[in-house]
Amino acid sequence: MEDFKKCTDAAFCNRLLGTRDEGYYIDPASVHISGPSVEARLLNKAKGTDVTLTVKAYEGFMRLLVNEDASKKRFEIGISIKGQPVMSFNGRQMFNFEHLRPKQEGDPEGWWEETFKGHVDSKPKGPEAISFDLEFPGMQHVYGLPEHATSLSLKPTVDLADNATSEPYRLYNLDVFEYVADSPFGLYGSIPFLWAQKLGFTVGAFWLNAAEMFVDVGKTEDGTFTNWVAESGVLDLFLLLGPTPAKVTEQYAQITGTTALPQYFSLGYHQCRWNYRDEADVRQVDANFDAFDIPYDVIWLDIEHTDGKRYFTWDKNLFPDPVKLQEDVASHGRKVVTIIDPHIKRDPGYYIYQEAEQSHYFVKDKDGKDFDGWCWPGSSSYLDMLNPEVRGWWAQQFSLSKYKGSTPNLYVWNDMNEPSVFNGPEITMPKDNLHWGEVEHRNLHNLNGALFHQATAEGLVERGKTVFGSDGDRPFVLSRAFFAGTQRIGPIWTGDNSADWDHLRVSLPMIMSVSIAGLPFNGADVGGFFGNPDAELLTRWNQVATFYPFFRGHAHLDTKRREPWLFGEDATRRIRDAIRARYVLLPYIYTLFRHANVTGLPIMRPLWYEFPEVEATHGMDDEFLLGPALLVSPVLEAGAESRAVYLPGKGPWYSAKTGERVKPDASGALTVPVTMDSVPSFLRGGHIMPLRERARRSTAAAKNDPYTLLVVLDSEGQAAGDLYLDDGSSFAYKRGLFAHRLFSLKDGVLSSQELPGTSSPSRFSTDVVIERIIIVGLGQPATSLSVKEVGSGKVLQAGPGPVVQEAGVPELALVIRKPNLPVAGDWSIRLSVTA
Amino acid sequence: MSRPKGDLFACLDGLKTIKYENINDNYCDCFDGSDEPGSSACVNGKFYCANKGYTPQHLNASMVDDTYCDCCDGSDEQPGVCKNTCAEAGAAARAALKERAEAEAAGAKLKEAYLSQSKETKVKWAAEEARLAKSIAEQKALSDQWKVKHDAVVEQERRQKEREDEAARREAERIAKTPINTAGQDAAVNVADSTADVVAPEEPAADHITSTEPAVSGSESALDAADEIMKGAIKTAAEGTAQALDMPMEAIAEEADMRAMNPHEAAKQQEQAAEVAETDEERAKRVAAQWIREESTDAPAEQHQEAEAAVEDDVAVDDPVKEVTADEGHEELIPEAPAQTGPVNFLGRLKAAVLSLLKATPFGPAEHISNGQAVKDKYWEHHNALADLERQQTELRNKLALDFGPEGEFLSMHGRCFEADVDKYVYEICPYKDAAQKDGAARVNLGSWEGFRDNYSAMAFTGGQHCWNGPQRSMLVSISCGKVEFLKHVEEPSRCEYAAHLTTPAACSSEVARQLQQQVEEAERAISSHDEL
Repeated sequence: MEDFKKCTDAAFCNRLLGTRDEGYYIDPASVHISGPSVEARLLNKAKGTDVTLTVKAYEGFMRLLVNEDASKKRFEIGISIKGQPVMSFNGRQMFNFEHLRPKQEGDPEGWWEETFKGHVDSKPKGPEAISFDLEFPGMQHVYGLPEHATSLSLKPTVDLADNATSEPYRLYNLDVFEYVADSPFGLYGSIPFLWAQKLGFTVGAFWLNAAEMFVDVGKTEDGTFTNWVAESGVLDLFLLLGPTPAKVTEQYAQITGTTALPQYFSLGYHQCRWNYRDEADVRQVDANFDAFDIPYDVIWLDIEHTDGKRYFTWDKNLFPDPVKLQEDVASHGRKVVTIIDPHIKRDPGYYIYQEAEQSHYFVKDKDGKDFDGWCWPGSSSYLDMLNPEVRGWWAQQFSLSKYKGSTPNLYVWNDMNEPSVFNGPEITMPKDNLHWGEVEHRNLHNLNGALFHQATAEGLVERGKTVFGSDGDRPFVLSRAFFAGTQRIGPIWTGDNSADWDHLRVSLPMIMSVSIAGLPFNGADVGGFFGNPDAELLTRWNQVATFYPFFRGHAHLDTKRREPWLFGEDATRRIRDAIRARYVLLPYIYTLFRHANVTGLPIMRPLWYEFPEVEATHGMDDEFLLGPALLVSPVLEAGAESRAVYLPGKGPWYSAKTGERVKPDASGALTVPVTMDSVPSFLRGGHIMPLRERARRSTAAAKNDPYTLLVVLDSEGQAAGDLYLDDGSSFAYKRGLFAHRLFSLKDGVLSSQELPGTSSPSRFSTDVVIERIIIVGLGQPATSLSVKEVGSGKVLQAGPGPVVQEAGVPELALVIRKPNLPVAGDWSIRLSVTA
Repeated sequence: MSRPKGDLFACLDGLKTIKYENINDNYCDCFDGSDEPGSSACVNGKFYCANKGYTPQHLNASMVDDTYCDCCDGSDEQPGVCKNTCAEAGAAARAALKERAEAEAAGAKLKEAYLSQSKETKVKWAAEEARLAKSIAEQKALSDQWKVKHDAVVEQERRQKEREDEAARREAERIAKTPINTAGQDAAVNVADSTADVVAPEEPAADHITSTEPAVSGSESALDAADEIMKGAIKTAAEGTAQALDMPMEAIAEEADMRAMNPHEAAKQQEQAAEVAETDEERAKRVAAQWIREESTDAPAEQHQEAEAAVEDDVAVDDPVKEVTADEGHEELIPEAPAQTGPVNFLGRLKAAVLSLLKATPFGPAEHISNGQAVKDKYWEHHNALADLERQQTELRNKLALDFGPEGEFLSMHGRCFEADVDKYVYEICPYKDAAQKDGAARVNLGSWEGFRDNYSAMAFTGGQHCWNGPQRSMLVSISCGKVEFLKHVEEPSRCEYAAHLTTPAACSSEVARQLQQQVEEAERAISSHDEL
């Protein structure tokens, strides 16, 4: 960690974090109210300065903007908020705004230059930091502010006496080697979005600012206070008023957007390694998935597939015929992902470099020369993605004619886009580098990766239109760096974790923290990137990752091979079961993604997200819910023989494996025995999950398979759930080519209808049917029930059966056999008690 | 499938009985899949493709009716989805089978030659062993004879030394009693001088030896003693008094180097160096090296190579004493070229110094040296000749004890090496010896011969050069029948774990050849009868 800064190493953090300035007040004469917008001048007599304060109220949130007058030109991120344009701000009088100023004799050290580990930051604009405090009265838990490898409920960094108990949470996108599993240090992505919660009230605060930031968290008996400082930019603070978690999510989504609807295939299992060596290696791995009957959708190629780390090229010895290779992988419905990183090898013979260099597309150093930094290819330059022209040019590089050896079955992975610069300060770009419009890198550092990610995704969108016509093809681009809004582009993963139990455990709060920060499509490398997992760890990791929103096995170059079949028969069987369980859940997961697409709801949810009224859940992060209907309490310890489970609310809860009603004690606690086969998970009464239970080798291979409805009754004998259907790959859903079915069971009638409020009538049609309906939690024995189709009166075969279609599972559910009801059509069936 | 009982069908696992009409109705009733042999309905089901003209197949139910053709007869998909490619597949398979049968037969024939050669070689080695045993017996007698004489000389020299010492002691006492006129140091010099004058010379040694001294049982040779002294010397040297043994100065310098090669130290030093004056490029390389730990042509990894080299050297010096005892007593192994570096050289030179001390130190008066020395030289000459013969015998016995396969067929590969060019490297495997990766003059050891594995279907080489922060390199070579020895498919499936394939006639079998030929004939009969239909 010596390569990275602490607060005391950053001059601005030293100056402003924890300091007070009581001199600011609003000039009453300057207050100007116009509709929902209030403008005023904030004066500081002691300093003789003033700034503009704008407060705008929106539906569900407020925007607080502080800036200098326009002539000073502080960097401001432009956003547009759709629709019309409460917490304690400055309660501790820590608001501070360093005005842009001319350099003067006798200015304190650190104002106009600072040095870290021999790297000099020239700071041409001098001090320009902003700080403030934000208090959450009565709230003991704050969450979010990703990305940190730490607990979901953020631990305090300062104590009551304002003494530091740890480093503040840092938001600065960095490529950290072997990050530790519990630390407030900054990692690959940053979203300055904080949640706070107490019983009955959930709120959020979002500071739209891409500069380096530190945030202190302190807890008092009265609640939680936070103290934020950013190195530059403006104060553009959104206060989200909730009052429920889902409302906070919705309000945040209004500001930064919702999750792009992913390619259906991208929700399957991904097999990655640095590196699948050559074509024969890829074919061997691909064939073994079939031989071991394990489904997978995507195989990944890391940096070694290129010609000398020149992205868009292929190592001709190792990959002589990449088109044939992709076609062969695609012949079973699967895809290939190649890595495209942002560092461009400085080689005049490399076409990407040549074009970018001639067009002046690279980020400049402080002296105006193309910045030259080191990364995988050696000496490299970095594209200036702030410039829309550069993004447009970059997008073109993904056309099939430009990207030689690519096919429509190839998708992309953007790594190292923090950006990683091996010889730069803190292994990243100097802050005084210059972007388009003379913007210093310091202002947009945390946005840098997202701009690159966006340009790449744009490239795939354009390629899709060329190949498939106007409905196109949804992009799939995985990024390591991220910022607020990344959800509109594509998924991220939690970077270079390690093959140990701590990293398995911390993956849950990390994924949930990123998820509630509006970016639900994310996951951690299964097995751990560094090091070698043993069979137990790899098995457990796969069992957890079944429920990761993004499910990819990955491994470092130095590690032993760890494809799912290399750890003996038992491990192979268990990993197969874990991956198959993922495919069974895909209709449910895809439907959750549709909700994320419409409203921003997370996929993997903290318990408190679904049960904010249960205070005991507020600090929990070793269990989670997948959507609203399934609670997972995974085994996260080596050699475990039991698992302490917490089941919130009144339930009822049922074992997802046996269908038995589970009864925790009065506090909600329960201990279940576990074996290596166990993945303790529980069905929540009142929900219906759509499933696909047939084993298949890929998502494409399952596209005509029938569905199962898993109906879990609440204490009133009711349940509801939904299923979103479309072609899974194009943008045709945007013109209404989808079906969104609502299933509900009430008064003994289970019916299917189009989800009310869906704006366009269902125009996606399919012949696929429901082959099985499983009803859990009936008040009476299944033998006493008969099932008839309403209308036709047709009697359906029904009887006692297991909740999971396996030998040895007790027959506690009612299983309706082959109802063959249209999955996208209207119908209803009636359950009645036979005499 | 079991027969229906009335209108009920018992699932093959015996756990359930279902209605006969529910068999093969695209819904899974038996959780063992036995009711659905023709659909994808059961997770664990198996689908049978007849694949007429090719080989029948039990397909995973997951691959049935998924629009992808898996059976060559296309029966796993809806009619019209797949072409029947069994004829082509069958023809190709028959051609491949035929080719394999021919190769096996040809290889098996060659193997006969290998086997007779192997027998001859073994006979030759056995004869050689007998000859050696005889020579050793003769040489041992000679050596023993001379040992008796040698020991007598040594004993005589020891007594002489004792007498001299005693005389010196007395003289010293005498001087001590006289008034001191000069500084002590001068007196001591005088003592030394006068001792030489006073002590009378011993009688000639040679006569003495044959007549009076008892024969010494050969258990404790002078060399063993030398070895003891040498170990002591090493210890002393390590304690910093190396100069007392007249050790060359470079050796001390080298020892200092060895200390510096402690990997942690080395890493720390590197880090410190990086702290002090790290250029941009150095920094980039250092950071890159965190992620990449391999020697590679890519510039950012270079620094790692150095680190790796340092660590690997360190592994070699881990146990220097052991290194020397392995070469016990072979003077010819002592390196002479001063340009050589490394711990072996240091210890070798130390040992040389000790041995020469041992042999050259004049324990007795000068005039007796030539005579006694001649006896000792003669003894050493015979002793060394014996040691040489014994070494040859050990080598031969080791060779005879090697596992050359059930019939001795792999003896043909003893002493041979096979190479394959892959990218910029040449991979070399030498059965019964080692495996290596060569890049020009550079040679990385991928492991030493461990033996056969999995019933002679693979050869393992293990304990090769350490990978930085990783395991020792190893190489597993699978073996199959082929007309010639041919090394191919060299890969590194996991970091520093190499794999390759070797074809050799030694792995062929006339029995397998016969079976394959039978299969070829059956296949051809089947196809011709099918054609007739």
